[in-house]
Amino acid sequence: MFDYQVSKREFQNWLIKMQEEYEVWAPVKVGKNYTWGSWDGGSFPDEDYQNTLKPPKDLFFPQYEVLLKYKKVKGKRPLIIEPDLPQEKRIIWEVRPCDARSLTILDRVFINKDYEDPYYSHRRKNTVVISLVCQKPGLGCFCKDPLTTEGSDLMLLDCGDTYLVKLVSVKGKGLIKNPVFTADKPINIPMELPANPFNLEIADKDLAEKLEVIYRSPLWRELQEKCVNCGVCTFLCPTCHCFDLTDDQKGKKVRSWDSCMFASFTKQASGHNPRPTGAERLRQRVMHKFRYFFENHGIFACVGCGRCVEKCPVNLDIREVLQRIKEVQ
Amino acid sequence: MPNPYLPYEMRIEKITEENPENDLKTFILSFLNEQDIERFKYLPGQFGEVGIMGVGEAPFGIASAPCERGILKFSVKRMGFFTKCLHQAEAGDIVSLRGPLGNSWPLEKLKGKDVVIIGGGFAFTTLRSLVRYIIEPENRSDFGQIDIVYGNREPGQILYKEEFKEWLTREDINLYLSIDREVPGWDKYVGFVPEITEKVINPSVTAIALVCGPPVMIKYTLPVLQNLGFTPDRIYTSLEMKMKCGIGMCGRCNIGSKYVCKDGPVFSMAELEQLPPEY
Amino acid sequence: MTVLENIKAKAKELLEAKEVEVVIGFAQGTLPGKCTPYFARTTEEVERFVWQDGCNLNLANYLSKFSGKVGIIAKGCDTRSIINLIKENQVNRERIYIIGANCPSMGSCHNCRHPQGVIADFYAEQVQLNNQDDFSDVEAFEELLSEERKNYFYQEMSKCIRCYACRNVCPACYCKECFVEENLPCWLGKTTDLADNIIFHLTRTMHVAGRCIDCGACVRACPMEVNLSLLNRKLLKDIQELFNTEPGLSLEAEPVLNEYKEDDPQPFLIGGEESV
Repeated sequence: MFDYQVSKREFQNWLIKMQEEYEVWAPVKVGKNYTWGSWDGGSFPDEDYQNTLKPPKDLFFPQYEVLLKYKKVKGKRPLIIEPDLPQEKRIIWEVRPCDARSLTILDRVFINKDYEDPYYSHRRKNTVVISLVCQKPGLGCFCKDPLTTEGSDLMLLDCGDTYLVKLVSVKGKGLIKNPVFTADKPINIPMELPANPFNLEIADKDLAEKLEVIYRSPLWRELQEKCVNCGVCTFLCPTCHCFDLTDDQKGKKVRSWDSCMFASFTKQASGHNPRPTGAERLRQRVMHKFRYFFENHGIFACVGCGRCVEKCPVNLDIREVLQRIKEVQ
Repeated sequence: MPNPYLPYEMRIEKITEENPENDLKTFILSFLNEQDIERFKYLPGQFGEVGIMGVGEAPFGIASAPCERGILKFSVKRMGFFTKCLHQAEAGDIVSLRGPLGNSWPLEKLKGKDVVIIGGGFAFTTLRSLVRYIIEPENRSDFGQIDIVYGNREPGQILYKEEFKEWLTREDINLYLSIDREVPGWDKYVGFVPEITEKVINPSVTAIALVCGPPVMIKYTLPVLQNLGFTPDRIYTSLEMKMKCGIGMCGRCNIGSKYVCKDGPVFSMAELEQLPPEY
Repeated sequence: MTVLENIKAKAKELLEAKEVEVVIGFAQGTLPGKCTPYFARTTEEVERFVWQDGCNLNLANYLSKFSGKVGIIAKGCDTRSIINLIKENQVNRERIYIIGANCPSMGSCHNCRHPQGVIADFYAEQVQLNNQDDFSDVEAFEELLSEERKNYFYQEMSKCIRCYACRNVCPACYCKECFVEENLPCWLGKTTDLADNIIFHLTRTMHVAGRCIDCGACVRACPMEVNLSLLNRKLLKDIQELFNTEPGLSLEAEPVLNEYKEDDPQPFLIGGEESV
């Protein structure tokens, strides 16, 4: 059920109005691909827009950022400078519902009862997420529910010349203070949305039970045999959040994306590495997403966006991996 | 909530060389800002991320005890690049510190019980914090008998030598110092930690054992403790993993669903038995 | 018999005779047009092999994963990488059995000169192909103004996300420890700043110079579609012009940057023939 139907023209005008207060981000086409960029106020997604190459996590937990700066002057005590926390008010739109949902998974990591990551939480607080329902699954897609509203503030459904608009969160509702959009009654979805032939239903009770007992299975070695241990799957994953902290020579503490697929990730100063080969690393990636994260948060750390499936250079397909795990006797 | 990446500024007050090889040093740090002393509330077993600005950070167990007000103590073995840089530091230098991080030795559970402390080599740091905490006059009556087995390769490697000398004279601590092989002039125990433990420890049924040392020592001490009647829920150890954030976010120190930095570093054997053996 | 049938027959023969414990090849992937590396250990598994457009990874990259005797289905690029790996003592020639076959994904690489295997123990296909690589793409690029070339590289390099897929699929990038991952000290910033990205790619390019055989695996592996080909091919062209040689064609010849000769051209030195 959606709340409003609005012409694309009207919606565009509203969004342009919003630009007075918000920075508006949208998928921008570069070559054949879409990347997150500043919305030009005019363009709508092409027919071929499936999803962005990099997930929107980049807008909240960027590939790298400066957490602190140091100023060292000889003979004086060094100065530790906390950078200004992000205050820009942003709207990101045309986010796919799977990606919007991924933000609720990142929230669990970066904002919890013990610690809050202020860089992430500030961006999150100041950003409105407007999702756009997928109307056909991509090649690697395996989401469970293309209509999920988790993580969205507003949700749109493209109906040709109009959008159906759904008010999801308080933040989203607050945005439409003077309703430029009007509707008498809730609007039903006027079309059939195709289901994914292969979806996260695969991650069911069976899988959970197998993951309980499969830790020592030789299957991991077999599955990872073709893996080259690059970071494509994790870097493009909207929920992967592992990072590195390094001090650079210019006096900055930098946080940057890191990957459990890299050998260096867990290697200790003594040389000991608790995950010495690709088998342990693939196991960590799968277990983290489908078992450990579930144990800690009651939810899988996978939204089925399919980026890892489509971009893996050796076609190590997570859907196939899960299927194989389920088949273990 | 405070920014968990914003460190305290600390001054190195004193550096003690702990062994003849000079690759093991104890750093005493003080808070540059007086008000930080009250903010930094910690318990024995917790750790901190010590940082050299422009080089990086590394996690070390806090070797001082909360009753030693205003200072923090860290004993650091020279291993990789970071520890090499830290070893080059001098008294008066400024370092950074994030913490306290992680859980602590199970102080509540230890109350009213006999405590068996088993340590090896330079891993005695947070155990020292615990002993120091227990023997503080206002805390001492909360705990029962204290047995300490502390093993080293040879006498020169013993950490906190002066303090151990003093503890040897205390009547409320049974201290069993041992070295691996006979050395002229050594009049304490000779042998590996597991065998000394087997020989000298005669625990009460509620006693709790806390073990910290090199992996091989832990591996061979655990069966000894179980033979002595310690159940897995009465044996604790402190784990080490590569860490960066220290707050359960960066994703590298997990063992199963537990993060060593946040859910640990102290785990009971009963807890570890539930986790995959990935450490 | 088709090429694939020849491949399968040979693979089965090797496995049955226990001459090898595994044969490295390709199976059908899970996405249209994609093939995936496949490691057959039984004759039944051999049936899953395919040889078609999409078999475009460089399988030589997998040889070091195995310690025993290994069979490998190798197209031109793969065999040239194998030659390099043998010369650089990364792979023992005695340990591998090479089933050579023409590259099935013709047309995807710029005028590939060696689509068929350069060395093989068995050829699954006899047709000899002779293309000429005229480096016209590099030449066209060289014609651009330096500002234009710089801008192009800046644009390409700024797309990189430092996932190291290019490095990890590259048979020439076999270092166990790579400078980019060194943390303490941090040799190279872990950011995707243009400067850090450029240093990563230029260092890698120079490190594989004279050994890169332009298989294009790095380009195809890149999720961000960074065009690394031009950099690698510029070096190949220079090597060709300066030293009149091509990497990965002979087991005897030293990699060009591994040896010094009195009469080596030195255009980059002061007083060198091209210096101004």
